[in-house]
Amino acid sequence: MIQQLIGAIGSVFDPAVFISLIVGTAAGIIGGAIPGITITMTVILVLPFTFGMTPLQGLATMVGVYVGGESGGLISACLIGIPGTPSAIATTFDGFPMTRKGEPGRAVWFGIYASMLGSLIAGFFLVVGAVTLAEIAVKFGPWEYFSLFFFTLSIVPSLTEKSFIKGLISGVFGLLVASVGTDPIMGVQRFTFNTELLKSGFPFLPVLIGVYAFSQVMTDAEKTGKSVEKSRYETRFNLQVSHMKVLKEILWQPVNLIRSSLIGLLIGILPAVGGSAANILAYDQAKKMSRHPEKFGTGIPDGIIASESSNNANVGGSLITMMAFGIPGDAVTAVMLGALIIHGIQPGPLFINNYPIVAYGIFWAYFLSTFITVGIEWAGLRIFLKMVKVPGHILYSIVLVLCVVGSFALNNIIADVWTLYFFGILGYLMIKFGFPLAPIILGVILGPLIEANLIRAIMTNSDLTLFITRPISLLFLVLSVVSVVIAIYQRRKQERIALKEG
Amino acid sequence: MGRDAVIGLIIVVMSILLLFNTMGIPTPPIVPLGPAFYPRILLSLLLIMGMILFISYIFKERSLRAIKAEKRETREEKGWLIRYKKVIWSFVVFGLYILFIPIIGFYSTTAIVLVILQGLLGYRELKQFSIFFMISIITTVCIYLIFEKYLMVVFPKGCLF
Repeated sequence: MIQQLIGAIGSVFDPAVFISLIVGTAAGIIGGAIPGITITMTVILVLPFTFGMTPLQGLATMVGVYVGGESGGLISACLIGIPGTPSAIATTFDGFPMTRKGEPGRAVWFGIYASMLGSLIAGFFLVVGAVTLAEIAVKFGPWEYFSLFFFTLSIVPSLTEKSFIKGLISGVFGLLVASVGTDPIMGVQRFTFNTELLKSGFPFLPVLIGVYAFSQVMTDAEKTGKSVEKSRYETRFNLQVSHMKVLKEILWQPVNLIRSSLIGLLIGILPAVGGSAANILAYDQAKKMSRHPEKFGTGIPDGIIASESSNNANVGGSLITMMAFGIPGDAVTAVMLGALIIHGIQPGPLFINNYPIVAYGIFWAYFLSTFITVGIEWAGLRIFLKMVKVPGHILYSIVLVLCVVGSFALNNIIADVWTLYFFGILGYLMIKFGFPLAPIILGVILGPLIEANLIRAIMTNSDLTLFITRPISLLFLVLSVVSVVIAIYQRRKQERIALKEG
Repeated sequence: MGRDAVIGLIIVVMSILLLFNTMGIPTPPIVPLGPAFYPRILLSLLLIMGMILFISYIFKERSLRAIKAEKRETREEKGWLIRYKKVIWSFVVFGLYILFIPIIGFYSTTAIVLVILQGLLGYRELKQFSIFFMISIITTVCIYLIFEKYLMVVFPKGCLF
């Protein structure tokens, strides 16, 4: 492992890769800092630029966006009180009060350094975890794979805060979407209704762009043009601060830092749940465990540290799941998986072994972009703050057009743009009717894998009990049941409490 | 009937229709599990879950709280056409945009759509439109330079450009 790590270091310092990494990180920080533009959207917008790159160059760019974005969100969260991304929501709780107390510099730098440290802590686990888990996963047969994917799909609706049954419907619908087109075993047409358009099925990336970028922009578009936009943010901050003092103060809270980073890491490992859950959970835990919980929300460093270290550690966790199993840890890694496939690399447990330069290069890109982020933010904090002020109607119009560009550039066919449009409308309706989006994307990605492994398992041996007599397969199935039961139990409890109060 | 119940019903009907559609999927004789096997499982699951969504709504309706919430919901829903006017128009504009890309050409439609979308989502003051035009031209030129010249993506040219 160490040998491969050292072996891959040269490939990241290749000028083309390194420059892409810096550009990606800067793009991530900007996207992260602008409220209404999520990191997922940024990575989607960057995607078409990576089509012409080498696999490592493209992936490094995306890792840069991811790491930079998680940090960039804190700029607007701390200074103007609006989270730049959903994963910086909890940062506003203490970051903005600290700014209003006259310490904007401290607020921002607490965030930036906590992000960096959270990233580094998770980075260690990323390298060790991804390699170890991939080694285990290589030994899986079709039964284990099927059960793992089944577990992945069952855990997602239970983790989303919305209706459980709607989460499940969303997931199964995603699987169904993936089954449209030519079937993977016999090559027979399914649900194509004799149209040329559907023969090759729905391409994954336009679906993802539609569901995650297009529909989100439309949701945000409802709010444009109102008085909120006319309000002028204060941008003349005194951002001077003693960096050593801030770093020392963070390291003075090792328990908070490590706990929050681990929460972020674990949430990241769980499939399809991202930083937006991690930062709130970490903040909540920090408050509960604190000796002075009443001070939370008044502008204390503890809250900023918890939120920011957890959302960056979440990146490490998501990358573990993506690299070891080929399952997306969240929407951003879903895009990365799509990018890998475009470059002809099959994600899965063999990925690290078969493409060591790309895999270990990703590790290096992750570590490097952590430091690049700090450097860029140090140099350009004020510039980013100005960019945050770009009005919504201009921003969203451009993003919508870039969605079209991204979908089209993939295969140079207009049909992909219609796919984007269709799933954009669908995603928008799903948001409005309370269906979570993460499961449908997971379903679309895992669909072909689930089917292939299910059929392969049954064709290898028609004995269905193998799914529960093989220990690892059984473990995943039991975990699926447990996660569903816990989710239903908790929801009942919440409903009962709500009924009593209401 | 509430929104969830309607969605539940739609899912049920859709699943049944698609289940009928799977009858048309040819099954090769040698293979034990045909290509229709897996989609049928999914559709059966969807059918069941659609029913659950529908039934659970009916049950919920009995509790007073749900009824109250429902009333609030309907009151909110009355103004939906006004509230979502912007979004509906955006979707319409966007649909026309995709339709016209191959006919008129990607760049000219993009430039026009950018102005329309900005006007639709922002404030419609005459002074603003000069800014919208500028942004639209700059964006379109940037897309041309980066994607067409640098990344070699060939967008449909249509009859204009």
